Amino acid sequence: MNKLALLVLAALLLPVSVQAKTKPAYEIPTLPEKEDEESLWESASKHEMRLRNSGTVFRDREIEAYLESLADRLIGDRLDHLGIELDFMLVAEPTLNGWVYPYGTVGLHTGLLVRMDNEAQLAAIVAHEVSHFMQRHTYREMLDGKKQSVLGKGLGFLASAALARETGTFDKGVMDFTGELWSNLATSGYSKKNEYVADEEGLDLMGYAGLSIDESIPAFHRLAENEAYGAGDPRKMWSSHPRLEDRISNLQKEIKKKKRKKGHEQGTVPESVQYYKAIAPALMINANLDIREQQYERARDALDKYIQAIPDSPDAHFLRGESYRMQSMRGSELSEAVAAYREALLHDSAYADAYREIGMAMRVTKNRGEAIAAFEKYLEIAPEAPDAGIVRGYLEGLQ
Amino acid sequence: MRIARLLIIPLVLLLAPSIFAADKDQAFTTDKRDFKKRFATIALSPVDADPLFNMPDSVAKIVEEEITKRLQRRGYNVLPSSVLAGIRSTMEAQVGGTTNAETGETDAARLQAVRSHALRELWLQHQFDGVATIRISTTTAQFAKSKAEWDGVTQKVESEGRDKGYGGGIVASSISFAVFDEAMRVQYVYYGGLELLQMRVEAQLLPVPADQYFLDEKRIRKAAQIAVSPI
Repeated sequence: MNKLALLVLAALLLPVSVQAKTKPAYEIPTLPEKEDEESLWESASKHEMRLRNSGTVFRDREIEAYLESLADRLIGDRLDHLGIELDFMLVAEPTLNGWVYPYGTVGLHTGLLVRMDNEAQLAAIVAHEVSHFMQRHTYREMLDGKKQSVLGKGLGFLASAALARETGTFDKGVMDFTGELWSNLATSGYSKKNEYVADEEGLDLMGYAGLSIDESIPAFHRLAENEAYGAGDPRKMWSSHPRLEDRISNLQKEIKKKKRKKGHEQGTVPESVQYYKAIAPALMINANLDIREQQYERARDALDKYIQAIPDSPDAHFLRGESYRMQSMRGSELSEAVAAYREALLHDSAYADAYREIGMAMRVTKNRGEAIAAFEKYLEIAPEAPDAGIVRGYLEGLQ
Repeated sequence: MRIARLLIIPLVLLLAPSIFAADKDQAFTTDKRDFKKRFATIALSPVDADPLFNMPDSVAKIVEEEITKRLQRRGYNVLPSSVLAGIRSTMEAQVGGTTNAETGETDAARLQAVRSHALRELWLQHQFDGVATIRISTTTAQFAKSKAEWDGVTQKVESEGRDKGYGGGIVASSISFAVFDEAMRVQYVYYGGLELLQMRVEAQLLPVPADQYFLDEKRIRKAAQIAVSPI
């Protein structure tokens, strides 16, 4: 066999041998295994640090502890020998996105936490990401040279979009500094084969944790909700990738298979309200972000969940009122807004802004007496408010 | 960072105005026919410009005049910007001014209060369907063979020295016209090219002196007309 033929044969065999050597994390004694994997971790760590310094990451020790405990239940003792503990990074961003760094830090957008309806649904996403980590998919993708970069598809782009929200400009450095690799890190960014492996193993992990695998279907359907962002918004692109539908079909097949297996146990679907309590601060943060983006229905969805968990929160009721008021200053929206403001006052009778907004609404509906009473109460509680002079002007006009 | 709701424009609009100018149908985020039904009365905000332009009042007047003329011709009711400006002015006095008397800096909380209340008051008094912002800002035009083209206009690139047929990007200005609904969601945005802000000297692009801005009234009127042309 001549030299050229040998080279061709070697090239054909290479991907197979690489895959064969890259064992899952639970089958090897230490991680990272080799120098190139270590340098991949370093590069990922730089990305993480950059994101953490962007102002979009928020720390909430209680939510992080909750997520860590969920991850522990999913992986059991499989990774104990490695001494690696999974941790979480929460990004205040209303889109639905999750990813994992190759060393086991899982990034989750608040939008994703908020759109899930129970712990089992969140577990479906987390288990998928944990599986990417355990299977060392980022490393495998690197070895396979599958670095296809599709704009709008990956973490790098979404991270850049999150930064741009704060700065008003795209920082391409976040997207580019590790080459194209990070633009593949989001759940839709791995190769089809690796995504399917993570989807299927994710179901196993859910099963180990005693959670219903059926809940993975609504969880993955939720990922398509980034569509709510307007045409032209780069964040819409991620979820509109057609592969999501293919993956859901594959998941459905896998669920059927697993249910047919002897000894399969139907997992539980934990109560939604417990889940909402566990992620409550994220619900409030995301509702504010959605209002900022004029996504009022989505904001109310988050606030309704928050109120299920913490019914006596005046802030949540007030913000709910604001979501209606900002949507429209007339008709049923205005009535709903007033009802929500009044609910806020039931829980905090000195909630000045609620009085002001009731006064504003009564002025619109020409309920002079009620407007005067509400404005007077507002000025009594907040005489030094920045808009106190304007409200005094309204009062003079009404009297 | 809190930003006044009025100033929140979808990120994509900030990033690539020229993309939107390319196709008149893309000016609308809603169906064009639906737009005309929904926005019978449009309230204008005062014409705004990046500070670098030091825009004279006369320019703002010409721009608003052209835009109003076009909108009225198309059957829209137009509330002049003077209505909103008057409300703002009253409210500024009510809050004791929006500048901190001691430091001379803008009092962000008062300014925000005035902006927010003024818009709501305008709606209460006039029940408008949409509010429009008109803004003069910088953009990048492409030029080749001494001719620049952007946002529906062309202009000769002034040059000193030998013309070596350079091409590329050059700084220019455009007028944007954007309409927001009651919930402050953008419903329309389009740009009209105004004038070049750079000139070529040999191989370099140098800024046009600021006192040379806004000298061509025809260009100002045309830019304003283009900004509302899809409506």
